Amino acid sequence: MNVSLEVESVKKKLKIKVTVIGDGSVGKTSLIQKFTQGTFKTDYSKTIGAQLTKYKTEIDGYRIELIFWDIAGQDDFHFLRPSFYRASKAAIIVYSLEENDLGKRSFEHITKWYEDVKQFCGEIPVVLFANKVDLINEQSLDKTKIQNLVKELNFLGYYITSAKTGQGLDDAFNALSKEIRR
Amino acid sequence: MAEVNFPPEEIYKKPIIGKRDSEHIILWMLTNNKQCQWADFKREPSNFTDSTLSKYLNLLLGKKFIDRFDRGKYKITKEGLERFNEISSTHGESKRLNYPPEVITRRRNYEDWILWMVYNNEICRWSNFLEPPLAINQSSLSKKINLLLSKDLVVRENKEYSITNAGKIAYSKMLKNYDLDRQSILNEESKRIDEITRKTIKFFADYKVEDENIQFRYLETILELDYDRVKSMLTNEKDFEKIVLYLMLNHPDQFPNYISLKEFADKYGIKHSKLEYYVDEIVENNIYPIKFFTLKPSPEIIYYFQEYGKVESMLRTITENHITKFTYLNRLFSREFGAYTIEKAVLEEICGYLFNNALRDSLRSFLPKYIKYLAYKIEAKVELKETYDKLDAIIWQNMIDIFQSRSPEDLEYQFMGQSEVNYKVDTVLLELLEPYYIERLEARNKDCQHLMDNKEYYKALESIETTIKSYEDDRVLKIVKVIVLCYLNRYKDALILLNDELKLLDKKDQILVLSYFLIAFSSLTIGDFDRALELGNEIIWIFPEHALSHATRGLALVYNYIYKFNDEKAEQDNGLADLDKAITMDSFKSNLALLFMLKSRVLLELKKYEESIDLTNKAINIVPDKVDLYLSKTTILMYFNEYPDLLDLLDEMLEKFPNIEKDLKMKKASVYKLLGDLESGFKVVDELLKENPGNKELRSFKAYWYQYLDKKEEALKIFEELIELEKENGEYYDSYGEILMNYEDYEKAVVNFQRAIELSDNGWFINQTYIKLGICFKELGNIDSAVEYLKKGKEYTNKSFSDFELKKKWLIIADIFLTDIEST
Repeated sequence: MNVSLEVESVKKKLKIKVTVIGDGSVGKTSLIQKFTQGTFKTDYSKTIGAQLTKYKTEIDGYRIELIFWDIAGQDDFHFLRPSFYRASKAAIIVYSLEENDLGKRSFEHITKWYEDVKQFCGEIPVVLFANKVDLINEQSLDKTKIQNLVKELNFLGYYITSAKTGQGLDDAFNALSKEIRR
Repeated sequence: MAEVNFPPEEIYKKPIIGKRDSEHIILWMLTNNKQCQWADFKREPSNFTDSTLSKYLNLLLGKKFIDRFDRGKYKITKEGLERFNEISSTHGESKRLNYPPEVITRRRNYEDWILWMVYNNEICRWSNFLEPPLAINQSSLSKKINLLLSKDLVVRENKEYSITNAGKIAYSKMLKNYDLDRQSILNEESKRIDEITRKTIKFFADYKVEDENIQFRYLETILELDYDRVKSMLTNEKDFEKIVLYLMLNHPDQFPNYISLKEFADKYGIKHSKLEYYVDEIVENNIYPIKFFTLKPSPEIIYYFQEYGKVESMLRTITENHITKFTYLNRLFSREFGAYTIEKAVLEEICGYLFNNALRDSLRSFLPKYIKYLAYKIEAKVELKETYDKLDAIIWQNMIDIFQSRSPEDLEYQFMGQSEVNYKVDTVLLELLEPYYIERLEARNKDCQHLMDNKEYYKALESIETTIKSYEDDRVLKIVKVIVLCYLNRYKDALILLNDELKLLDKKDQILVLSYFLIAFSSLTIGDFDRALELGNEIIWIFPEHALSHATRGLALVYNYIYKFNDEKAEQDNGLADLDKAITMDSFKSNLALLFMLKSRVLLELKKYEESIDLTNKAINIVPDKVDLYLSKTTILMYFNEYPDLLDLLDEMLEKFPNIEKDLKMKKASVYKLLGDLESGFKVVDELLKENPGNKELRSFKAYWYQYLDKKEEALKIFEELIELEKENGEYYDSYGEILMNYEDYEKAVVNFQRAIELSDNGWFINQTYIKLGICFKELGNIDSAVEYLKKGKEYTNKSFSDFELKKKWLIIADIFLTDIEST
């Protein structure tokens, strides 16, 4: 094998850790599954502790391996937060658009999740996923409060997503990958 | 004729003026010989005439300084010894010295000569060793004296040498090297005992120690503990005596009396820290060659007893006897008695006889360590000359392995170990059997059910075992025993007993249904679904109209559905049909509630929230005072994130079940945390602690809350205080390490986790400690250790008998970090 080619190949391979956070039941695991495997489970199965999912893609000639650390919202492992967040290059905060207690709470807790990211990862790109859009009437969605929050917390952007239909997922993950690459 | 020791010339020789001291000569001869006969006194060089000898012997007999124990045979008494010492130290105008007997001076072992001199004379000068009769040469003397000084056996003050306490002990040992007669050795030892006894009598009087048992133990111990060993640090000998008294007051014989370090320090006027430090040094760090054993009936209470004391000697004899018995029986019948069988037999014999019955639990955790200690001692015996030494070695050779390898299986019954993974099956379901045995049980044992209801399972086991002795053929009672074993997580024992029972049971006996249910139940806990299902099918075939038969198969299928022992079968059958059948057949209301509860568990797995809750409510309506049903409902609400409803339910439970207020409020605080309302959660914890200020579990819980609130110092402080209170509690070190981990102080966290493992290698939390330790090592860049401990953590987690969900969480955590290590 040509040595220079081998070096080139090694140089272009990037492993990137992305932390996915948010309250329990907002659909973090489903989002990642849908994006990485194209499947969606209707049953809610609690993520236990955390899960690792890998996704390989290529951007601008670089082979990028995204490693999603899907951290449980149940937060049984408070003391593990530094280790969970360590070396993350980006973070996704997920909340649910459901019009119930769970949805409302998950929106209220965005700031708390953002503070965790800031505390352990510093200034890394953060995107907000407003998930479960399939459960609401999107037309009636008031996007102003989301936009205000995104602006206030200096998020990279927000995406209206549905793990069930796949809506917004490709755009969201591609934008995130490009930002990380940059 | 036996060789007789005669006094030195200056004693027996007639002085130029006056008479020789006949009393001194006779006492000298009786002190330095085991006994003397009439003829011995008449021999050269003592040369007594009959009349003089008769006169002085009668005089000494009258004063009780000597004793005629046989015709013409005399020996010295204790009073005579004192008189002899008195004469020896004051005889003549100038002070006379005692010199070692010829049996010692025969060898040129100058160290021994000097030791003998300083022991038998109050003080000695340099010249006493240089001059005859010893005449030790200058250079040897200098060398030997320095050696004795360096060993603290002798002290020099104003150019005079005297013996230390350590020197007195060395002197006693030294005498054993010589062919001294028995009486001489005893006489020498008596002198030391007398001196310590005098001090002890004063100490008892000063501190009003009146209990004879304590007095005896104290004297027995202090004779063996050399104050000189700690003298340089512990300058006040009284403090030393108090420390020994503290140990004696907290002997297991004193149970239930107990005096804490603080109480003792206040009462006897010694610094608490000093007392604590020296107790620790003596007991844990073995600054003396005497070993002390400890029993801990509770974290705050420690009882001490020493090796070769009465209690330990008896315990050793009993333990050795059982070890021997089981080793022989194993060989005779090719059976395999495990560590548990041996411990149990020892425990049965010593509780209530050698130790108070209430110390049973602490003895249960003490025995494995003790047996290992004995085994190591036997192993260390190098000489295997005599038959009994060889037998001992054979009997004990496997014990270390047996007790080493039992970890973590049955150490505290927290671990199973028959299968790679162990599964929790809700023990409340054992109550399904209650209607079938309760009548018989209450007729023969009124206490057992009550003890079970109060969750006092160890006592319940003792109680039922006693009753079984009187009704050996009663199979119902044996079923009750199996149920108690299941409550104690001793499924292995339960299965052994049940398998034996099955051989005896008639296939038409309805007891068979109970046995099958219990075997299925126990088999599920060790992951043996096939056996559980097989039994379910068989019992339905034998007793198709019995509700419990269907409950047995339902149980097997439900737990297969939960744990997926057999995926394919789980997809075909979730057990609901069997449960429904059991529900229609069972006529006992309480059983219906339990079956509803089990069914709701399946519905939870099926994510059927409404139905699951409805069924639980139905169960609660049937038996409204059963806390387990409410707890089941909390699990469902928690699973579906129904936190506001959960808070309402907890409030309702607080009114209904005030006896578990603490647990409910802790749960309530955790729900507030899930809601993100840390302040409200903290308020609940804080109030709870104010109501129970001494509760260490709550203090620990509060420390975690400080952590959630990011109050690092407060969180750490609580664990530091708890560790200070219970230095031997591994759990606190583990929690302390966890807080440190949260603040990324991994080096310190490692130290604390390692200490936790050292102290509680069989603790319920230790699997988590290993995983956390592995993560810390990863963070510190020590990848080899990280992998080692993460893998060890997984191994322990697999064997742990904890909540299945919790177990899965920890396995995943370990896997995530292992995967992360591999991929980087």
